[in-house]
Amino acid sequence: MSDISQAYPYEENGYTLYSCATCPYAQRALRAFRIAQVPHKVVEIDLLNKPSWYHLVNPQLKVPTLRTPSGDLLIESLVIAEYVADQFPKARLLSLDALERAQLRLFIELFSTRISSVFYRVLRAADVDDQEMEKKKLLEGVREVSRELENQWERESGKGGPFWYGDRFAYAEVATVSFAGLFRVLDHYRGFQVPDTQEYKGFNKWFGAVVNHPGFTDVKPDDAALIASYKRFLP
Amino acid sequence: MSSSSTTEYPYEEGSYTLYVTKHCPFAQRALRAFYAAKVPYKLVEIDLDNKPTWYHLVNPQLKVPALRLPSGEILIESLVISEYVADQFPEAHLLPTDALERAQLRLFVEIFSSKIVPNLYGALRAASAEEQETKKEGILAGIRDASRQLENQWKRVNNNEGLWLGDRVSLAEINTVSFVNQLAAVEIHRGLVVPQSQEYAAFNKWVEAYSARPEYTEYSLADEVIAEKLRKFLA
Repeated sequence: MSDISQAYPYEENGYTLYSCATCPYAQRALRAFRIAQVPHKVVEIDLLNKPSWYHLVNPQLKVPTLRTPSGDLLIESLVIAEYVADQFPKARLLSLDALERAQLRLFIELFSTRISSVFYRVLRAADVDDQEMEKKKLLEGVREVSRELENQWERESGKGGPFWYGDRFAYAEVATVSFAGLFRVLDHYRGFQVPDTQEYKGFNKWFGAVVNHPGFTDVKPDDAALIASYKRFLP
Repeated sequence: MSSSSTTEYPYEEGSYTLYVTKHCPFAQRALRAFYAAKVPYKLVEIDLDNKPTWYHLVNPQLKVPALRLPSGEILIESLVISEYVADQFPEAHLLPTDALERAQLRLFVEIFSSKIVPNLYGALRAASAEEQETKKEGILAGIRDASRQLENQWKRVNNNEGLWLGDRVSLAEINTVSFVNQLAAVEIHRGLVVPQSQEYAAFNKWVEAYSARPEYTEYSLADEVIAEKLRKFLA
């Protein structure tokens, strides 16, 4: 696989993705490649025991990093995912319409600030009162995301759901589902669940479709590994 | 300026309406994008210290910029708005069409968002001299990173005229220059000096190149004005 005169392993003339199975950011990159059906080599990086050569790939020592066939290195999970969408337009990961793209970007931003970031705060909160406060915020975030999904399903590009682009698991899911998968972790450590009521209908419809789709399940780490990997966030 | 009788906020019928505060560096991204793309729009100035009672109808987060499209949809988030302009008006060439070049441009912009901007406000807010030094060093580290990226980029495009894309303003400038302008506050209040040495040469050349362009000068503010506006952040 690697040229022995180089100092780090990569796939000659192909895409190499430096990743970590339990990292939700790395999963975005993995999912983008898989949904677009682009062949790629995965090099697993143990984040708790990084290889000595990894700084040559990414000086910030983060995952994911992508090495292109031309030898260029890209970092940042969403930059990598958008690169895949741009480079492989036939996969139709991302709409070409300017407004649709903008609305999708806002959805990803909303999900990130109202759900993904709050997950970590629920886990990190030391006392029960703080945990309850963060859980309330998380539920607010899920309700906001739920409303946005329902707005999108009224639009032509959403076509009634259950995914952002109707019946297609695509860019919006690539960018968000690994964080949705963290609900499993919160249930385990904090007994948190999203209620099955009207206000959460949109989210539950989306999530129900997501968890059964190979776009999610193919890259999902097993529950035990995932739960164990989040133990370090607990106070 | 007209408004429909069934809505309660001012906008321009059949046109773009941009809600901004002229001295806000985030809003300036939107202003520069429209200017560079030569797209007509109606400007509605929002006084951030005295927001109009109707502004929550435009943006519930009460931030600027916000953009109302001719079709009535509203977009928020400065980077989403500038990218919308790039996508909607491709003839303005605000973004390259090549996937890898787009990714590299995005990573350049990300240096400002993740390394320079937080340290900019951090340096102003820092109470102790030690913390101020740490934040100033953070800004300089970000600038050195940007300088390296510029050097790599100019080798790639084989063009030495000083802008990211060589001779043409793009989102690489539109999304970043307002924050370089803001550095004047750190210079005046905290004694930041950007060296003239080799590590900073490409950055300094880039600043000189864009500073002469009307896309910059149309919205830039004098150093003293910036220093006064940001005085409120001082510890």
